Amino acid sequence: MSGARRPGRSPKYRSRYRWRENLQGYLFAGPWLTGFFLFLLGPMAFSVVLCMFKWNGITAFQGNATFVGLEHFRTITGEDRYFGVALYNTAYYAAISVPLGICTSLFLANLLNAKLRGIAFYRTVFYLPNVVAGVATIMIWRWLFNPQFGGFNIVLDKTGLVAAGRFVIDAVPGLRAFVTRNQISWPPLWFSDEFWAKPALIIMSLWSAGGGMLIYLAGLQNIPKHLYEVAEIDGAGRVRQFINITLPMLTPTIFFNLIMSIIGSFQVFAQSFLMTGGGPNNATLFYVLYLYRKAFEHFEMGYASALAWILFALIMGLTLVVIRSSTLWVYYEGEKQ
Amino acid sequence: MASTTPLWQRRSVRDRAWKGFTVAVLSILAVVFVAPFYWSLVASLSNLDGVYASPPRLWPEKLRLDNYTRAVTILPFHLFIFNSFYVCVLCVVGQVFSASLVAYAFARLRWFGRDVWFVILLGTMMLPAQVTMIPHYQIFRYLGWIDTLRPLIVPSYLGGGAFFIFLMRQFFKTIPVELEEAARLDGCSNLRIFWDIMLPLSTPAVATISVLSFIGNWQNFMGPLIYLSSFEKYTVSIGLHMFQSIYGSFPHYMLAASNIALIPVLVLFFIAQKYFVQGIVLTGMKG
Amino acid sequence: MTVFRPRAGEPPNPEAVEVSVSFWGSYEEWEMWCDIAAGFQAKNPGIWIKLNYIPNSYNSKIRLLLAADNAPDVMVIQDEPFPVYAAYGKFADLTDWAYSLESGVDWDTAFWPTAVESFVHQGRVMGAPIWGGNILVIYNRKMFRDFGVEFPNDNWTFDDFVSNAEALTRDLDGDGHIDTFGLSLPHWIYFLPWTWGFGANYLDERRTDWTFTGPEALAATTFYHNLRYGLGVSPSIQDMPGSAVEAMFMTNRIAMTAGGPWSSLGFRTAGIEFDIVHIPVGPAGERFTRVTWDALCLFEKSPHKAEALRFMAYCISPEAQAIVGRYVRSVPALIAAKDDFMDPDNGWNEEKYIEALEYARMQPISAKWVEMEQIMNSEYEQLLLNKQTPEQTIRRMAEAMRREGVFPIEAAP
Repeated sequence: MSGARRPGRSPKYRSRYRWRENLQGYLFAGPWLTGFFLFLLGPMAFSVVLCMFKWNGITAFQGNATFVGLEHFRTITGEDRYFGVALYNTAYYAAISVPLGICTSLFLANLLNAKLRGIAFYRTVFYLPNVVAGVATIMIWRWLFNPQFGGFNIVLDKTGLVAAGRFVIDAVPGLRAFVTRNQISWPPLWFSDEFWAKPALIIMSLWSAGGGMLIYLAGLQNIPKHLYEVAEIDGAGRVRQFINITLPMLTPTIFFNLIMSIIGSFQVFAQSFLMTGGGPNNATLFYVLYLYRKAFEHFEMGYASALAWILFALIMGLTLVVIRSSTLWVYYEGEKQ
Repeated sequence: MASTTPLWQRRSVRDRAWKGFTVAVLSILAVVFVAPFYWSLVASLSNLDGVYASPPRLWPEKLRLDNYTRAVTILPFHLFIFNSFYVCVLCVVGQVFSASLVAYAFARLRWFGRDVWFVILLGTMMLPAQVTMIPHYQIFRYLGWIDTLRPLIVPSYLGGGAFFIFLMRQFFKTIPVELEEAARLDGCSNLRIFWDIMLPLSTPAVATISVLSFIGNWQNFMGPLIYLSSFEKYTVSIGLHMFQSIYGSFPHYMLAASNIALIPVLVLFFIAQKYFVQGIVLTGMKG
Repeated sequence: MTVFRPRAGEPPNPEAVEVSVSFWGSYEEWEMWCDIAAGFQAKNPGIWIKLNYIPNSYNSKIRLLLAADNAPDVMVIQDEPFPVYAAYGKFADLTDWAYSLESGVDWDTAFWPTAVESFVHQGRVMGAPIWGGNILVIYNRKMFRDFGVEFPNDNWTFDDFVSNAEALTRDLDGDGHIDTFGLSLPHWIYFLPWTWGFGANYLDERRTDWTFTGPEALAATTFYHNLRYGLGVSPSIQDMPGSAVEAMFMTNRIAMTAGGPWSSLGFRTAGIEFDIVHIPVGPAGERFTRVTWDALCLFEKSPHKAEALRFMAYCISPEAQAIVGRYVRSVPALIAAKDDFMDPDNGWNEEKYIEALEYARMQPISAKWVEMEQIMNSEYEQLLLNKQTPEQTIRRMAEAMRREGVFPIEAAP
């Protein structure tokens, strides 16, 4: 019996077919759905309820949690000065690291797609940062960003960038006043300077561009070679080929990386927790760090849940915008409309 | 074709120039990327004085290989590595198959509520884990899985995580629909299509997921920390933190230990290289 | 170096009652607990001690386990987080057990005074102190000798302290950068002895209100700031490669540091010739040191309280405390075990830690420790980055404490 839908069949057949299709869909998605209902739904629903309670998170919920309605949300949007700071820091980090990260990974992946001998070695090198364990990474970067002895500032010094920077500060009108007023250091003091702490973390995040690179690499393999051959014959140069063939065919992967970067960068936590403690002067107080403090150090689980769901709404909103816009720019080769 | 040199000659000159350019750029960038790691390698082979030498040395003054032997003997890293391997291999198998199955449903099948479920799928990644940590723990405790490796492994078989599902979905969507339609005309069930067409054509994606999954699970620290309490079950990531408690003030030992923990993963990555770039042969399909 | 010893001994007897104990630390703590457990099990074959070694983020994990009601039977708890957990009713009330014969000690006299006091909550005993430590000045003998400075004697004052630090801060190769420093600037917690030496106190007697204001507080904070920026005897971030203070001490670049008995371990491993000396006498005429204790607390919902209590009784007995002392990582809480801590042959005067207990004071612990610590860390960080003056620091701290509702603390929850 052919499975293709053909017009003219009886409605009863079509509805039976649709029933079967639905069943198949649910069957294939079954593993995840099971996991969702077993492990995720409960805790998520509980935390929604928690938003409206004041609870310390350490004693039993029954009898120790008081219902406060939407008071947490009112406090967050009204009196909580750290909320604004945390949100700003996180948005700053995301707004810069996401585009930079995508471009870096894309650029690297294209280079690493070349059919050169020894390219496997290069790929390993660029993926290396993602493989190094967290404790070592922190140690390495603390050393690198040391203001006097660290690798970064030594390179800046030796390549003359420090001197160049000083020249620029003096040359551009108003810049010197701006720098002095905000106590910005040059050469940068990195983690000891409010202005440079976030850029330092962004640079760290770029170093692990290898993850995105890997995914773009896989995406590049799916582009049929004959497209390039045809373009070659038509006389298109490398750059032209990149813009007209590679990029459009990579849009599904870019879509993926864009959404994952947004989701990831808004939840940045580990670096500020382990390296800077949110400082100096709350310059690296990121949203999830603030949330963690509220939940586990100030024992306010209800407030932290409210914070979490606000973040959720924010990320979800951004993601939906990206998804909506995807019909305009994402091209699935497999599904030519 | 108005130029005088034949096309093939023009092409090979341009190709070589391009290749040269690529190698140059890659080499410069490679130096930048490898420099931090190279410093850690040198530091791990130095004594304490040499670690923070300024300017950083290119090679330790006094080579200290015993940093590595110390790292391996002070803690039973062989035990930790075995545990990590056990968890990682099981997780990789689970995540690859489970994520692909679910991704196929989202990519190609039409079922009621699919797009809503997709948004929910993405949504599960948007809630910071801190607020669900305690109820999560309670669920596993109710199942009796505390202090076992099960909380680390079982979720890999139940979808394997939204990240990989989303990734595979994107890859499946780039595979031409005509292949599927042809197979359906031949009477193939969805499972056959999945197994014989979708998966084999996604080798680069599968390879990518395998590597990402392995490394992610290898480095996973929070999971083992929360759910394990018996020393014999500890994984490499916990072992490294243990090492830090012992030798926190001695960075050269610490870096030696972490470099040792690196080796299995690097080897795996190197081996998996050839699967990353297995292209798909689509010519001939268009008739 | 000994190879890490996985838990030795017979496998658990299937009928044995399992009592779990959680702790943190290095492999030496692990070995110490192995010894203690072995000693206990030799006398109590029906009980198996499960060692729950949490290598990192100890407090986070304990918090999670307490919240999920799945905590180990016995937990090692520091004095800082103790009030909060006790206030939430997570620990069993040990008062009756402590004052009965079962604890095996006379509770009021067996321990160092501050030890018991640290773990009393609203008049009830909630923790059995096992070990602790205080802060003394650790100095690098080699550097003192090389620069021809006399070793500090136990009756020195703050002025002697400063002049020693200055004498040891040298630019050896004349390149304009200082190569050796006299003192590593301690974290404010480790700097408590000096703060107290000026007569300044962070909290009042009952530890419910913030009192770090006034001329003494200003003097203490100015002194702290001055050590780095005025006298220049302490390195700042730019001067410290890798910002690892211990590394500098161990490579003969810092002459003095403040530390407890646990610090000595690393120094012995690095082969540094060091010694300790009592805290100098402050301008107020007295000297103080900061003492911290750790205790064993019994989980309120433990299913094996009787067996756990027997284990705890063993841990505070002279036998187990002797084991603690011999590892020389912390001072045993039991006064009677002090001789086991002291080892005449190891080249440094660890008995001074015991002597210092005479003038030891508890830290400003309260139920708001975490919030207080965060505000203080932030303000002191700004001070030490020279981003604000001592006056501003004191003022901002007091304002923040009031604004965030940290102090004053109303009646305990």
